[in-house]
Amino acid sequence: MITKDEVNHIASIAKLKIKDDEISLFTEKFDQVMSFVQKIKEVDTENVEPTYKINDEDGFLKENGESQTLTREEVLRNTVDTQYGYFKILKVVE
Amino acid sequence: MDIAKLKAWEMREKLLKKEISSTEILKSHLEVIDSVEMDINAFITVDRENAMETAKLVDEKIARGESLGVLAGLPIGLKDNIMTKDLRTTCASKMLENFIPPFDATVVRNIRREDGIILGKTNLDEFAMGGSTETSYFGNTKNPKNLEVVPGGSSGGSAAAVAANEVAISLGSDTGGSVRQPASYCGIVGIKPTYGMVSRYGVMPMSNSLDQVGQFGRDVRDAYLMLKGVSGFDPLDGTSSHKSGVNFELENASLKGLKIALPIEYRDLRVTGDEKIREVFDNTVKLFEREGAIIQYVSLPHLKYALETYYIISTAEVSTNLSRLDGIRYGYRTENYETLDELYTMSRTEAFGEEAKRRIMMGTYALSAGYQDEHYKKALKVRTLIKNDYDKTFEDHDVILSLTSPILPFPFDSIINSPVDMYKADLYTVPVNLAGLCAMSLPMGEVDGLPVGMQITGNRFQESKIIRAGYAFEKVVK
Repeated sequence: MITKDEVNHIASIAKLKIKDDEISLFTEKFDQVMSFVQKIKEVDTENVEPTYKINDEDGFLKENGESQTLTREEVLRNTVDTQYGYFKILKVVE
Repeated sequence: MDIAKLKAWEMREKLLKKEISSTEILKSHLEVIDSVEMDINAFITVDRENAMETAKLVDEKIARGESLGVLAGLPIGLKDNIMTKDLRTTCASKMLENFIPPFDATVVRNIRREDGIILGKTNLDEFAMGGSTETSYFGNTKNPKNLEVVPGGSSGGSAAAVAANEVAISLGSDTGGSVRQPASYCGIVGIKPTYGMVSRYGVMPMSNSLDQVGQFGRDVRDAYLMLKGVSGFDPLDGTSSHKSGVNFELENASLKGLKIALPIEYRDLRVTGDEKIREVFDNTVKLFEREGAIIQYVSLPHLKYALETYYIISTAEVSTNLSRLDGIRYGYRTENYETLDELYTMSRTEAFGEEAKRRIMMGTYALSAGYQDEHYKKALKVRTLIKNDYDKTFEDHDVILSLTSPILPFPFDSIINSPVDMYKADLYTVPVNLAGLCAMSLPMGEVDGLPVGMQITGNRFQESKIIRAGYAFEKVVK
C-alpha cells in the first residue's frame, strides 16, 4: 500500500506538487497502478540479462566537426524572458 | 469527382497522368476540413497557406516535367509531437501550447523531399500518453465512424483525419500501440515499423527505447506509401538502422504457404465483452486458412507479463524525458514562484495534465532509490524473455496474427477514470514495441457497427512480410 507521504516524496523528486484536495484520489489511483505492475515479481529472471536497447546494431558516433545548428535568436525564441542574449531566470547566487 | 475520397495512391496516379493537379487535391481536402472538422476536431493546427504554397510548387514541378517524389501532391497530417520548423508543435499539452520549433524532424524533411504536402498538425493524448486522445489539452477528437465514441489514441487525430478524408495519409507515433489501436478504432490501416526503421530525430520522445513513427492510410497500399516516403537511415538518430528503408512489390502478394503463428496465451488473456471481436477474428483466421496459409498455435509464455513490463519501462523513460520541461528554455512558465525550485515545480504542476503526472510519478517511483532493481531492472530482464519468445516464434513462422485491441472504441469519459482498465486494452500491442518488431493493424470487420482491427506482427525488418500479407488479405476481402 502506497501512502500519501510516499506520493508526496515521489512528487518532490519529480518536481510536481499534488494538491491537498487531490492527494487522496491520486494516491488511490497510483496505488492501483503500482500494485498492478507488481505481477512481474513472480517471473524467474535468474541469469537473464537486461535489454536496454532492442536493436542488434551498435550505435554510432557523429563525426566531430564544426557546424551551425541553431542561431541564438532561434534558441531564445521560445523562452519567457531573456537578457543580453541569454535566458533570464532568478538570481541563484548572492 | 470527389478527390478526397480517393485512395492516396489513386490521387498520385491521377496526378502523374495530369488528370488532376496538386492544388485540386489540396482544395478538395480543405473543403472536407471546412465541413467536418468542427465535429471531428482531428487537428490542433491547420496550415492552409503553406500547404497551398507547396501544392503550387508541386504543380510547377509537374509543368516543368521534373521528376516527382513518392508522396507528390498528397495532403499529409502530422501528429503534433513531430517538430515542424516555424509551425507550432504542442504535444497537445498546455506545457507547449505556444512552442514554435526552430527545426524540422527528419520525417518532415523526408516528406518535403518527396513532394508531400503538410496540411496540419493533429491531435493526440498529451505527450502521446493515453489510448483515447481524451487527455489532450485541445479537446477530444471524435471518431469519424461514430461521433459518440473515441477515435483511440494516442495518435487519435492522425487516424481520424485519414478516416474522415481530411488528409490522404498521416503520421503518428507508436510507443505501445498508439498507431495500431486508433487505426483499428477508426477502421483504417496503421503500421508500427521496426524499431530503427524510421528516424526519431525531432519527434518528441516519450519512451526512447520503444518509440517509433507510424503510418496511417485508408488501405494497405496507402500506409505503405507513407512508410516508403519517410523511412531510411538517418545519421541524426543514433538508433536509426542501416537496414532501414522499404522497397518491395505488392501486386504478387499471396497468403498461400504463409506460416502463421497464433499465440495460445491470447486465449487466456481475456477482457470482458471481447466475445464478438474474437468471433470476427476466428472467421478471419479461417479465411487465411482457406487462402492457403498454414496456421499453427505457438506459446510465448512471457506475453502475460508484457503489460506490466511495458508500464514500468515506458514510464521510467517518460519521467526522465519530461524532466527537460522545466519552464526555463521553452514551454510554460508559472507566475507563482519566488525560488528556482518553485519555478520548476509550479510550472510543471500547472502545465501537465493528470495522466502525464501519473506516468511521471510512476516512472520516478520505479527508478527511485531502493526500488530501481525491484522494478526497472526486473522489467528490463522480463523484456529480454519476451524478446526471446518472439525470436523463437519467428524461427519457423512468417507472421503472428492477433487482435489489435480486445475492446471496441468506447464512449467518451467511460474508461479514462480507470487507468488500469485503460492500460489493459493495450495487451496485444505493447509486446511488439518491447521486442522492437514491426506490426500493422488493418480492418477485419465490424461489431455493433464499429470497426475492429486485426494485427499482423512480423520480425524486425520484415515489413515486407506483414505488408504483403495485409495486402493479400485486403484483396481477398474486397
